[in-house]
Amino acid sequence: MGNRLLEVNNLKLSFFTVSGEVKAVDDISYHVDEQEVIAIVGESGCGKSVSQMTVMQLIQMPPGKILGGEVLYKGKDLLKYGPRSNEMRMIRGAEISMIFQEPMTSLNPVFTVGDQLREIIMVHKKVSKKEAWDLGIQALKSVEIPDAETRMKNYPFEMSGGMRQRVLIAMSVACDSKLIIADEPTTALDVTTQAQVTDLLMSLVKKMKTSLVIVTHNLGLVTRYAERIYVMYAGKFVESGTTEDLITNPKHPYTAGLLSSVPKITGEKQEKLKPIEGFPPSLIDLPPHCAFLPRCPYATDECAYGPYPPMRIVGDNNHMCACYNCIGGQ
Amino acid sequence: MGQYILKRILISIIVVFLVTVFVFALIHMLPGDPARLYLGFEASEADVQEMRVKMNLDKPWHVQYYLWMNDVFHGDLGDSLLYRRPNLDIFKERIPRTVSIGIPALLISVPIALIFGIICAIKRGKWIDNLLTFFITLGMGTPVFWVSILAIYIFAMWLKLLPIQGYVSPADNFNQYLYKATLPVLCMATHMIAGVARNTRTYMLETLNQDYIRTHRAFGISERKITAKYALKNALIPVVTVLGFQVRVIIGGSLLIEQVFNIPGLGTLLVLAVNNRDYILIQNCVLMIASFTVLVSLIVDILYGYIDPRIRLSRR
Repeated sequence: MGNRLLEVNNLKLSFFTVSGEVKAVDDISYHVDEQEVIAIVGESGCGKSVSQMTVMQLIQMPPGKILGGEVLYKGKDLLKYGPRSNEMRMIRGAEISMIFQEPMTSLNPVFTVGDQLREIIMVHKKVSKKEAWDLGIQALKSVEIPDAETRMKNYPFEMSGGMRQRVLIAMSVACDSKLIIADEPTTALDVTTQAQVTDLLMSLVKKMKTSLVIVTHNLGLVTRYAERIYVMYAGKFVESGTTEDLITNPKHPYTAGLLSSVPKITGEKQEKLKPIEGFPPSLIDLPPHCAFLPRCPYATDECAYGPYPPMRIVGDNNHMCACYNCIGGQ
Repeated sequence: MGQYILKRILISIIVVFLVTVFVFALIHMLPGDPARLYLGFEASEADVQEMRVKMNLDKPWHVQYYLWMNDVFHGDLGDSLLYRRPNLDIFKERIPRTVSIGIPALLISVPIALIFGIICAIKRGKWIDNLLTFFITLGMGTPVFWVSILAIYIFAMWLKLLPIQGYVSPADNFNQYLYKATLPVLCMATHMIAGVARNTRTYMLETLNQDYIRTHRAFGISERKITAKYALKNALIPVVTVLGFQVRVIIGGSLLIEQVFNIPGLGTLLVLAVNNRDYILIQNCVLMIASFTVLVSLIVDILYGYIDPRIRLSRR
């Protein structure tokens, strides 16, 4: 494991809307080392995508507002630069790249794939138009797009969803980013394409010695690839640790619930999936106690009266959990 | 693209055909006898009857329609009952006057409107957006003839900078044309700026919220380039349609503006023709305006295909 690449400390972001303050990211801390693959897991609307957009400073402000924390990339606090600064602009795409959830709408429909790819390369590298175009072809080849020379001249609507996601991956590797943030990279794709795109992404990350943050609700995906996992619920991290520790020995009732709701191929035929009862809470007017309380099968009086449980070390390898009644004691 | 254009042309022809049928039907449903109006109320019944035969008014309507279309296809737009001379000559005389007001208005308004719209979209919610949007809404809400009268009051009667009314052809005396056409051109332009700017603002805002703009940002493209290149091209697609409408506004606006400023153009002609029940003139004037409008729509459609690759390539 290499040096610390990204370290996020106590990051807080809220959206101020007519119906109130939405605490989308509420005091989260995590880190990514060089060449490390980590995952942020949670249900839809728990703030996991927003947390990553905050790191990239792509959140519209207003209504969004960063209320505190720091985002240290190679030791420098990105939040100090500001979202529209040149420094931040040069980091996006060249140091940290982001792949989005919706390949169908994430490419500009009236410019060719080549135009869009070349533009990115020319922003970050001092090359001529011709050289940038050739680098674009290489990037498309690296994501295994056949006939890359012709594909460069295609418009996005002439490509399938899987192909477009490959193009977006090509964009994120074209300028040798050190960190790629993949926000639900395969959710919009069909299952066979999902596997192909994920495998491609993982092999590229290995080959280019890039770090990767996978944001997903798909635990199956995560357990296969990620080295460490952060579980997010209602804007906060509730558990973090190595993938093995989390899967074999989940401490937070929410993590345990997530795991038992995933189908297993090895399970017995009649085994029923156990869904987590209830719905995730609205992020407006969150209670002072644990947000998972209404859905928690392990809840006690302490949970209802106590403040929000802080993250604390509950096991080896920095296994952390934010719960008063961690599963298996402690 | 070829097939796309061909299809547009076919549709345009059908539209023009339908317009001729409707105009023909509408005019022939109007009360009053054109032959009697033409000869005056002192004329004898026999003379009127003779005139009716001469004007083909005694024939069944489908024959009359056929005769009209036959003339049109032979380049004969008939003789005006009011002016008693060929309609074509009247048009040739009047169209340049309307154009000499409308085209400058269009050329002035389009760049200003686009810039206003883009500024509003980028500075959304800031004071400059609020100020411009206020004037844009005002411009859209006030009828063009009212603006014209107000402009005459301020610039002609009060400040005495420009003349109250009148028209000189730019070919005859360019300085006099500038002097007299300034007010009507500006009044028409104000109206056009409002419409285009508002639409540009709306489409630009919509575009700036799209996922692909976020992608451009996420890869470090500068805000200026995103706005001026990547967002603008997307926002322009619907704006082109609005520009097509603006060309039609020249005709609609000329009806009012030419009345207020007393410009002997197409607008005044149509009003006169209707007031005097000059059915041959109305018929052919409407046919001409309709064909022109359809032609503009056709050009817009083709431009659309040029800007939007989804249209250009989908029917290759």
